Amino acid sequence: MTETIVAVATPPGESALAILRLSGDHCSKITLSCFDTPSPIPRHSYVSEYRNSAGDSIDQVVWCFYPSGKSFTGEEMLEISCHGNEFIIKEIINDLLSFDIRAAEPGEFTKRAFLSKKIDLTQAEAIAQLISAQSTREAKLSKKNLEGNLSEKILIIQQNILGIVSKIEAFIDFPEDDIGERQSDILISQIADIEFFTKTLADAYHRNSSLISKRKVVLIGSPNAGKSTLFNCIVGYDRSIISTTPGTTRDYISQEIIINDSKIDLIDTAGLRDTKEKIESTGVDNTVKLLEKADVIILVLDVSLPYPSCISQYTKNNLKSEKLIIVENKNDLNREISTKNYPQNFKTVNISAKDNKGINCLLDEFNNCIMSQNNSDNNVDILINLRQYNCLSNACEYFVKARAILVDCDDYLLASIELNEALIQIGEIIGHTDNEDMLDKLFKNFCIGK
Amino acid sequence: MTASIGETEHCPFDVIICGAGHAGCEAALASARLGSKVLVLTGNLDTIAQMSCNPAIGGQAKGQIVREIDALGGGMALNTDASAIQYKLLNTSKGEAVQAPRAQCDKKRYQLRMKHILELEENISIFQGLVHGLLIKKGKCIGVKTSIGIKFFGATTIVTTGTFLQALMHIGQEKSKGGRLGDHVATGLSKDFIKCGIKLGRFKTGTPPRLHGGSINFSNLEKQSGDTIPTKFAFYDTRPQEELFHVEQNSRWFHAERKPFMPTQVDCFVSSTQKKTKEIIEANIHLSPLYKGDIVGTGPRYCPSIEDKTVKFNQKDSHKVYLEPEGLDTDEWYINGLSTSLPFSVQKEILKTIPGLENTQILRPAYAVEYDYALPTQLSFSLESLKVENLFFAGQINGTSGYEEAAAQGLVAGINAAQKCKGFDPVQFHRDEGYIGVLIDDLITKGTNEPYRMFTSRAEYRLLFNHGSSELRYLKKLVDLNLVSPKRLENILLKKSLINKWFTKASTEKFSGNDSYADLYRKGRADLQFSPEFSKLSPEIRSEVHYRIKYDGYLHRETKNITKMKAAENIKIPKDYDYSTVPGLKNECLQKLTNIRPETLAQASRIPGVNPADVNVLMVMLSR
Ligand SMILES: Nc1nc2c(ncn2[C@@H]2O[C@H](COP(=O)(O)OP(=O)(O)OP(=O)(O)O)[C@@H](O)[C@H]2O)c(=O)[nH]1
Ligand SMILES: [Mg+2]
Repeated sequence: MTETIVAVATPPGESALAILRLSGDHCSKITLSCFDTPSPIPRHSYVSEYRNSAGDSIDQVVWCFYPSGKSFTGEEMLEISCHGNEFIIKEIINDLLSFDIRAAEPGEFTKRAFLSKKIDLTQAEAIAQLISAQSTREAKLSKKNLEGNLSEKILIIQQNILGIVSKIEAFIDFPEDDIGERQSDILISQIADIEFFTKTLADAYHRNSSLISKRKVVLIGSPNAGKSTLFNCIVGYDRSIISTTPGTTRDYISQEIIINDSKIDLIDTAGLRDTKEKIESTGVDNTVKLLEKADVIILVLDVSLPYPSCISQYTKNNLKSEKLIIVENKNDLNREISTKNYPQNFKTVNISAKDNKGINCLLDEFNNCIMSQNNSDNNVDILINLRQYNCLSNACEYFVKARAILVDCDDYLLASIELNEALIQIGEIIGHTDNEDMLDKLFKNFCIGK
Repeated sequence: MTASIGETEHCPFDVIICGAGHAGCEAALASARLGSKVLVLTGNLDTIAQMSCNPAIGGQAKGQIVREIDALGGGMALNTDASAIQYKLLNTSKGEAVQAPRAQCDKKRYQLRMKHILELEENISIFQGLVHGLLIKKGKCIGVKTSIGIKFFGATTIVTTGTFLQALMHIGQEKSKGGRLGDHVATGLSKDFIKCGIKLGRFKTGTPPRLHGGSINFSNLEKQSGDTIPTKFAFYDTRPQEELFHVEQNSRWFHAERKPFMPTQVDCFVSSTQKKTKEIIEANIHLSPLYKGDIVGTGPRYCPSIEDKTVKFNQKDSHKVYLEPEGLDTDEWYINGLSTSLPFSVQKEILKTIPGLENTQILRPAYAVEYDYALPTQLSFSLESLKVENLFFAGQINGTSGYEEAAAQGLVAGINAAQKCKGFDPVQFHRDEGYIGVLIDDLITKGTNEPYRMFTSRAEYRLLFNHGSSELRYLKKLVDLNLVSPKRLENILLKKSLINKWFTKASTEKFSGNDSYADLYRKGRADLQFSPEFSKLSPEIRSEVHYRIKYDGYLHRETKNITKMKAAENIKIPKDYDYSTVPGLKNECLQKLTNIRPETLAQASRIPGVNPADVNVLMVMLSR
């Protein structure tokens, strides 16, 4: 007997529809008592009145029943789509809870799917990632893992290690057999190959991190250039304080916005200048730190003033062309600035933040910038989470040790011990292998037996 | 007239042992040592402890098992030393951890001496009688019945019938009943097992032809000699004088001068099959019962017949063939590597193509034998049947191969049968203690798809299982049970404390500059003299100290892994646990758990088909 659980699958708030999901042995009991349907056709949509235990209709709903073994969790499941009104949802849930059903814990559906072996560990993790994906791209990759992309690669690693170990074991366990000479140099290069493959896979984790964490877009410029004004323009409301006094913004202010399917942190900073005042100068220091982590830097200039000389001293290392956009603000005023001091080869956008002019132009430029960075992420075809990354890099360490042992003292037993440790690490990702798998390979490759 | 022991149900033997092969002999000796009254029944008194296949004991992983048997007071090691005619330590160039002793033995001498050991043991009775059936009462085994209707009653019974159950020999198309050329077959027992609900499987094994040495031309063959300094199987440094070769000392006929401390060593020879051999085999493969489909049993992959090697490794034109003498009182030679079930006429043609064997005379033909075995997953760790109480199984009947594997099981079953008679708890051999633990756990947990042979790679902690440390690893068992004499136990304890003391000294005290002796030894300075006092210690103690120094880091790691494994070993599963209450278990997994009935979560995790997710669910359910 498994307990039956229920949860709302759609996000809270008013919407056209809301979906309730149930999993466990009581699902068929519910189709009978709420929908008056004793043995529903599996995976078939019904339209019915939802009647509570008193027999009153609560809502007209669409529902679908999944028999055990043929559902996501492997258990009996029921999906009910009702109208997305908070009170209706609450009433239905309260009614369901009267059936010896409890509210699901977070992730419990996935957990049940994992426990009934409908999905393996990488797939379970992929679902978690899919749900919390920060971009369409990440969502797509999560989906690939769900389809077994990562499992496949792990299997390749596993099979390769097993192959190498079986060659080593043949020499340990069959010293009397006619199995040819030891070929340690070949083994060493085979280990190096699989190490490279594993390392590349592990490195995907680093490449992923830019994809998984939100992009940071930082506004910089001298005090009073109009950064906060521009920030408010993009965010769409007065988030940052604006004033005619230079040095208004002391610490940075961050706001999440969605541009081009991606979540982005837009950050307003303290203006850059030489300052003696303590608080402001800490603000400046923070700005410099932010610049190092920024994915896109928007340099805001006041065109009615000369090019601020101090900018270059703060930014010399961080102003790479693919990251930087120069914004010439206050174009409603007389132009004093001269472009000859600008950093070379940068896109320039002309705006007036105060009048909200040229903002769309800036957003387009900004889109291009992000897009070109996304394109370089296209090389990343796999998502690795921290746990998987740790297993992979631990395995790499054992590969290094195994190679060193073979090079230094040609001790097969110790090399095998290291490789077996690597195998355990890899096994942690999708599940363990049995010694029989190694023996199968061994007997296939060597003519053992006097 | 009062009935003598074993004649009635009320006055049974403590342990009845059916079969006197390597498993039966160790079982009898172990039970007897623990004080049980033992009856050994054998179909043929002249084949006690017979080496049915090659005349050698030990080898990789097996050699270590023999030393473990010796550590636990068993008879195999001393008997090997007393009948060895060539010693070889294997893997000498590849590190001490996987070094294994091996010996060619004088087959007859091994056999006769083992028979004599049994005869000298007061608690053992021997009788020639073929066991034909079990006496079962209320689901418990109370004794056995022989083929001529004699009944023997026993509180416990150990079945060690090897390859004799429903045995069928094949030489080409010729089939004859029997477990060994010229021997009988056990027919009744299989039926009784099935009646008791014990599932049987069928395996196959083979043996090569035996040749007359006078007809072999040795002159151009590569010679293989033994080691000048033999590595013996038994632990002599801890045995008091009176326990050395006690047969020779105590027998009515033997004399102390026959103490075989330094045996006469003989040579083996190597030849190889040729292209022509391959052609003959290929031309006649259709006559092989294996390829015709006459043989249903699965054979061992590590011991293939020559036709198997030819088919599966067709790219190889030549396979080595080893000529091993069967003893000092005979000129019969065992042709290792040439096991086959091809017809006799083809065997003769094959031999003609092998250098040195062109004009040879066959004394016994090669043959394959198929036999019933009882699936070992139906046993508990004590090797008692889960289906029939008081019935134990040991040896090849459990699906293993090899004298050493059989003997080890005999020892375990013998100890546990004796324990059961006394009403004591069964003794468990763990995976972290030695190869015997691995063997037992593999058999009862995983079962086997082919005749099971030990490999070092089956052990997770094989670095801890160097052959020299066997006595120390089983020390707790030796203290708990009376498996060795008090004097020997005292010596082992002393040995252990000396090893610990000198290892600590070597690792902690400064020897030269900032380095300890251990540091320098690991840096390759094996030439240094540690101290005069250390040099005076026995070679066994010194080599164990050096071993620990050399592999210190790795031994540490393995010990740590054991601790981790033990955590899961400590989560016990109740004997009659209802797995159907565990959510999400697949049917196959449910079946396996229900049949094998693992005793701990760790054991459950080792069952093939039970994967980590199942173990997680099980753990959650057990902790409720
Ligand atoms: N004429 C004109 N004035 C602008 C424009 N954008 C901003 N301003 C004015 O410039 C002044 C400073 O604006 P802020 O947005 O506070 O400047 P800031 O760069 O954030 O300054 P600090 O926070 O002090 O570094 C305000 O009085 C704005 O109204 C523009 O496009 N045209
Ligand atoms: Mg500001």
